[in-house]
Amino acid sequence: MEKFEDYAKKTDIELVNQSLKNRDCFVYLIKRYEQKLFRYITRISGLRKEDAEDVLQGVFIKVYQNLNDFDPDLKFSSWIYRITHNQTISNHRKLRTRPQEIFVEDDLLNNFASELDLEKNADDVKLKKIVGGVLTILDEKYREILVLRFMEDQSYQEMADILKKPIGTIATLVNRAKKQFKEEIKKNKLKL
Amino acid sequence: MSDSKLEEKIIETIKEKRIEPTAKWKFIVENILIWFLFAMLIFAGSMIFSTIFFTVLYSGKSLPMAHPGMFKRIFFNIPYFWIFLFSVFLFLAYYNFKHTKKGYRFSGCLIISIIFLASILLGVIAHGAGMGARIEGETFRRFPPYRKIMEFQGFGERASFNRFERFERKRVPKRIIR
Repeated sequence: MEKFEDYAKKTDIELVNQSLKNRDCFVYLIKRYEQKLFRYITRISGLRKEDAEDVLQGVFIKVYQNLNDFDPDLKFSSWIYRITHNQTISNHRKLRTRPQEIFVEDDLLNNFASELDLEKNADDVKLKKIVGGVLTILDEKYREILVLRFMEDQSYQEMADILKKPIGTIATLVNRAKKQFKEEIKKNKLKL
Repeated sequence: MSDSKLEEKIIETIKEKRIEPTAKWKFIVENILIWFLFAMLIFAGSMIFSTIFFTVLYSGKSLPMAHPGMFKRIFFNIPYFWIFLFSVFLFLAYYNFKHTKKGYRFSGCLIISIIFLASILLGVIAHGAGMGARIEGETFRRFPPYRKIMEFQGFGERASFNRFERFERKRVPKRIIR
């Protein structure tokens, strides 16, 4: 049996192939993605921690069942994000929840500030709250676009593969999402 | 994340429920079926298009007595039934293509244009082979609702027969020459 460090060095595709031969190797794929996907689920759905974990568990089981359907032309991360997105949305629609609060980390604030023309000043705490607050009131389709682009740091191509939309549509959605974000700031008279 | 390790829970569930990855051949068969269905839909679309060609090209001359006005003639000459059927197949082919593995990468306009062009191209070939005339004739004989629509548009049995005859007359000399 190889050591954990050996598996950590392996690529996603190598781990997929190993998992198909030995299911215990699937643990390393779970370890690699669980934090990222957990954050993604809570950001787009606002599910409670326990519910988000249930969704995540469902995601990994679905991923395991469909390992043979993974297309190596696609990035594995895009494929796993796609499954997570679909599972979360179907769960989320059943519960009809809206995120109460979206926590914006320091490093991610720069992404928002530069792309959405927000003035960064000393009071970053306030700005983080505003960004997180506006994200919760956006339409679901725009929220998930901004989360993928600025919080999950996905490229347009990756977003197209995750959301199964043409790349041109993604570009349009990003522009509209930015516009709605700015309008919500104006509408709610939020001072930056 | 909770303290209890999620990865252990998942592996346990997989073992307990004896979950296995779905066999690769099942995905391959599913993929082949989707493409086969797409090909069938394009084929059906082109057959319908050949019928549209036939009805448009061989209808005009039989109508002036029944509908003297030009706009009326055009209005009654449009093969509504076949256009509706073609639209249904066009939509089904589009929907099917969107559900292929990489179908989402293409815009709706591009997909519909390609399906449309493929149907026209194959439809012209099928029309040349007499498929349109045959399909129209058979539908007229065997499908009473279609016959009613055609009668409403001024195509009784006589007009329908004349149309078919004109088509055959045009085709037969070509066959003799060959």
